[in-house]
Amino acid sequence: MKKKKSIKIMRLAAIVLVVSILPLLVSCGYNTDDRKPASEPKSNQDAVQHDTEQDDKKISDKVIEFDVLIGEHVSFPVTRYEDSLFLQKITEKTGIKLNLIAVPDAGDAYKQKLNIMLNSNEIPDIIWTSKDDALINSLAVKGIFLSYSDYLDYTPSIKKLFETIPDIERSYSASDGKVYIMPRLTTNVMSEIFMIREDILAKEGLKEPGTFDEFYILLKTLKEKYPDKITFINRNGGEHLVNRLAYSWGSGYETGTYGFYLNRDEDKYQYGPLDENFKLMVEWLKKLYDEGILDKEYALRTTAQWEEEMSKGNALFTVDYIDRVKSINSGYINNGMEARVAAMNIPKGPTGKSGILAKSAVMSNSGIVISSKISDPVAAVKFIDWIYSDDGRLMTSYGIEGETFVIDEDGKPMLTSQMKRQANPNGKELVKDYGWIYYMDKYEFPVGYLKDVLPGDPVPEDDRWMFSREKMEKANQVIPADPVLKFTEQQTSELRSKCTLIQDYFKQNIDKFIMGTRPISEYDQFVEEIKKLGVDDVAKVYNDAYSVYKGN
Amino acid sequence: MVKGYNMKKANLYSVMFDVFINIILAMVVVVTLYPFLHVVSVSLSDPYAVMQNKVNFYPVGFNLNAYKSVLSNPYIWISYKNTIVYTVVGTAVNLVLTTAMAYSLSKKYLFGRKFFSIFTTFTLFFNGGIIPNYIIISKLGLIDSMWALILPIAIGTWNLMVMRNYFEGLPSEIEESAAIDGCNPVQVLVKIVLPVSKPIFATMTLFYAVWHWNTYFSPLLYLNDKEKYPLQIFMQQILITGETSFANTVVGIEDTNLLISNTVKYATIMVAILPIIMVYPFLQKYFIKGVLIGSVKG
Repeated sequence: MKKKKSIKIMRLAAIVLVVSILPLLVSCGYNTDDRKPASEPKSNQDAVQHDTEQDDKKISDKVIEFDVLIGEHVSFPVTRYEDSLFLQKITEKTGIKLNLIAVPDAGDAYKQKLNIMLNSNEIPDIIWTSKDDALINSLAVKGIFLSYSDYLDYTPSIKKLFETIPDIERSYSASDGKVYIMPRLTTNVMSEIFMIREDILAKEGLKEPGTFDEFYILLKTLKEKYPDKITFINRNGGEHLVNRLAYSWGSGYETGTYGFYLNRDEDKYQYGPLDENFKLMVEWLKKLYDEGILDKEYALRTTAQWEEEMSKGNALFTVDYIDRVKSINSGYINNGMEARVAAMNIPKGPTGKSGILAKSAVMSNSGIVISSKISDPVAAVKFIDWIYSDDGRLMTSYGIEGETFVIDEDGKPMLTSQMKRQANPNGKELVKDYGWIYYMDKYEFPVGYLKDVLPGDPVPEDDRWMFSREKMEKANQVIPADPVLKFTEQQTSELRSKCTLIQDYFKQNIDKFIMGTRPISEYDQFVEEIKKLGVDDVAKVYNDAYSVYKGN
Repeated sequence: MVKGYNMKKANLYSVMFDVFINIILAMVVVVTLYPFLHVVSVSLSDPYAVMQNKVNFYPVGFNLNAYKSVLSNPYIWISYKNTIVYTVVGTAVNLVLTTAMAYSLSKKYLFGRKFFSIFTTFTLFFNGGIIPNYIIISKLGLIDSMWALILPIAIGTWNLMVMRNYFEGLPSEIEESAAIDGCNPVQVLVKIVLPVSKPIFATMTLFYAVWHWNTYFSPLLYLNDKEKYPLQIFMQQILITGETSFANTVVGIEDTNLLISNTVKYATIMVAILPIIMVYPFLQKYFIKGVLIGSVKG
């Protein structure tokens, strides 16, 4: 990439002239692409030769450099290659040197930069975070990116993933059926839980409810005993409540699909609020609201207010992300409070179902894309394959084996004793001391599954997070997410024009029903009103896309 | 004072008017000072107290941890240094080029004066757009170089016009007399015109410096090496990350590891704005004068 100095100075002089006198000398003649020297054939041969020695993880004996556009989170700053043992170790292992172009993953910054790069056809070798899968795919069919489907012979790990996770091909292939984006995968799909003040249940000798009727009685008892506290607090509005409760009530309401959900019994998409069970749920919520059990301000609470009430111990029950168990309890512990929150088994609804939908195992807008102009395509796909292999996964998740982690006798990764953890707060840190790169990991890993309490460490005071995880898993209440569907441009525009109307109208009315400003007797009328906004057409689009998804 | 007006009454009015003005100004002070005080207090407080909304005017659970964590981040110093370099070099380039062009254009006998003036004015209303600009910068080999931030805005059209007007307003006699004494045009500019143009220079310096200090989008686009990022990118990264919105919850992601406490955010703001706050009062008098000079001639 480095240009000779004299050329650079001449160019500077040129631009001084151009900019100061004729700033409008904008030409569009950028079609002649002199960007990368075409060393392709030679390195291709190299790569084929290495192919024979499969066991060796090394992709190339001589170091190949790739420019990589990667998002950077401020909590996990990207370290320079020279200072990053981690990146150097990757080069040592694979023969690939990554020149990371770290762009802040804050607000729209990354997306803006990526969009301009894509539009000006100045694409880096590898885009680590695809950000806009639809745009990438629409450019990909024009030949701008490399298709993983064409290189499957070189990529055993990716090939295996295509087989074990069919959603990669079903949901992320471009319109020509090929996969250009290797998405981020997640094993940690649990999202929200029913979170209750465990200490109060124990103190009052109350049992966990089995059904929503029992749950109502439990909440009512709590309300009577603790009248000055908020029995049931909620943030993110009424839509959040119905979103998380609807599955257990035998219906569904997915915000990502504007309230439409996959009815697993009938294997088709439908609009949740039209269900009879949905109405029952709204009536139940209204009862809670009327009796002051559901927070009077449930529809308006911001995250900050919710955090405030939770951390003061002023709220007894909420439905929220499992990771919050950690932060809330550590707040209680730091302040010497006896309060603790933990997961409660989700009560059964009228149809006997209970649970909350998980995240999808395949994450949108966060995959790896390779430029078709890359100097050595085979080395590039092999490197990406390594990222998804067991070896690459361990390294990108936990750092350098033997240095930052070891595999214990159960086959689980375990921190080495020199690393920072609760028992060794001054230990070494992955990012600071090893230059580990957060977004390199394409498996969102469950941090808690890494053994960070070593033999001999004091047992941590609180592990309700792990307890809650196991509780949810044991009760089978983490329901697999609805599939990620692909739409044609026409379908997308139809969804866009109708769904926002439907969603807005729903949001306006759901809180009216729960708060009683619109009588529940008008619910059937509301159903008719919302149907007029095109619910059936949208359902048809979803079902068409779903049958394409199943057919592939 | 208007003739025939009752003096006593007028005095009463003017006193009342003063009181009224003072009350309004005091309110303005409170309104503008409170957010600032709040930021200071939060940055000095215990994060837990902040989460519980206990912090208003004064810090609760005073500690300097947020500052420690901000200042121990090497990138705040690197980006600070970068911003200062870009601002100083950029402003210097701006001043030299803007002065040269403005002075030339202020001379009625310049060949092609009208052509250049119209061409420059044209850029006020039309430009090529982001993508062509990006392509030009890239083809010139300026990507990832600080010159990509400095050269494309080497001359601000608006500033150029303000400056040209100022030069036009100078009496031509002093320049003529210098010429008679044997000065060439460059000497006239340096020895005669510049010394009497200090206010406009102070203004231009301030305008350009603030421009460079605040620029965020072009470094984001044109720089690839993190070591070259200016302060604004660092700030944006700290301030915007961790804002959870419902958009995040739709995809079901809320990683609390990725949230940044408000105390750290506010401490970053303080560290970043402190130099500007310290410089502003001293530059302010020039600033006001300079702006007036641009608008009213003579």
